[in-house]
Amino acid sequence: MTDRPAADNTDDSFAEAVGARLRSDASHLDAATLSKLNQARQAALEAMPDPGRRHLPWLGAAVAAAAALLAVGLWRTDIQTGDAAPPALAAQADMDLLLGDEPLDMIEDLEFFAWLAAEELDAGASG
Amino acid sequence: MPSVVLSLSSRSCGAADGLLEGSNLDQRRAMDRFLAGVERRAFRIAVLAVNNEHDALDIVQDAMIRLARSYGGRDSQEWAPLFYRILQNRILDHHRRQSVRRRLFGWIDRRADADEAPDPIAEAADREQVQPEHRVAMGAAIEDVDAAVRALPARQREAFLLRAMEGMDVAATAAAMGCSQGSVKTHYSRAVHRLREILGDHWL
Repeated sequence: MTDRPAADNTDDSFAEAVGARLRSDASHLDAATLSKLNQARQAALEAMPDPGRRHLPWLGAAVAAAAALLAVGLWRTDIQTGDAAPPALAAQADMDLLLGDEPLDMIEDLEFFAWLAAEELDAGASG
Repeated sequence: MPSVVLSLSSRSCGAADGLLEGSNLDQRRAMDRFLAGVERRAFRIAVLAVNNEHDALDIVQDAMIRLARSYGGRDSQEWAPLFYRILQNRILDHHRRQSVRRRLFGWIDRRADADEAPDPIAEAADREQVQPEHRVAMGAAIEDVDAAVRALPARQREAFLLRAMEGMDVAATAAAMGCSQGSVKTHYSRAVHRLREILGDHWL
C-alpha cells in the first residue's frame, strides 16, 4: 500500500481527498443498513467451513489403519509364541467338526473339546 | 499394552481436537474482524456500481458468504483481493441480469404500448440522468462525488475505488480486478483525470 501510481502530486492529493470523502460517507451509514450488514456478516460466518470437520475423514481412516496394524501385530505375536493354532490347522479342525459323525451338540462344549484336542496334541508331541 | 496405546491415542486426539477448535475459532474471529472492517466500504462501492441500496446489500452479503465458504481457510492476508474480486464479479452478474431483464421487458413493453400515445411525463428527463458536469454546476456536494464516480467506466471506477477509497496497492488491486498491474495504473490514472475534469480542483 505504499507504491503510488505514476501521477503528479496534484493527482495524488485529489485522489486522496475524494477517497477520504467516500470513506467518510461509508462510515456514516444509517442504523438499518448497519444492522443488515451485521446480519450478512453473521450469515457469512455461519457458512464458514469447519476445518475440524474437513480433517475428520482422514482422522478416521488413520485410526482404522492404526487399529488394523495393531491387530495384525498382536495376531502375529500370538502365532510366534504358539498361543494359538495356526489358521490352516484351525480351519481344518472346523471342517472335521462339521463333516464328522459326532453330534453337533458338542459345539455347546466347544471349549472342553478344544482343551481336549490341545491335550492330545501335547501328548502326541511329547510321546 | 493395547489399552495404554488406546488411552494415549484418545488423549492425543482430544488435544488435536482442541487445537483444531481453537484454530477454527481464531479463523472465525479473524474473518469476523475482516468483514466488519470492509463491509461499509464494500456496501458503498456496490451502491456506486448498481445505484440501488437493496441490490447492493444483496451483493455484499453474497460476496461475504462466498468468501467465507470458499476461502475461509486461506491465509487472512489473501482475503481482501479475493473479497473484492468476488464483489466485482457479483456486480458484473447484477449488470448482466439487469441487461437481460431490460431487453426482455423492454420488448414486452414495446409490444404492449405500441398502440398507446406517448406519455409526456414518462418522456420527461430523469433527474438522475443529469450529467455529472451539470450537477457540479448546480452546487450539490457529496452527491456530486457519487455522480462523478458513477459516471466513470466500470473498470476505471473499480480501480479508483480500490486504490483511493480502499487503500489497496497496485498489486492487490490487480489481483482483485483480475488484470495486470499496468492495466490498473492506466485505469486509475484515467479515472483520476476524468474525476478532476468533472469535479474541478476545489477538492484539493
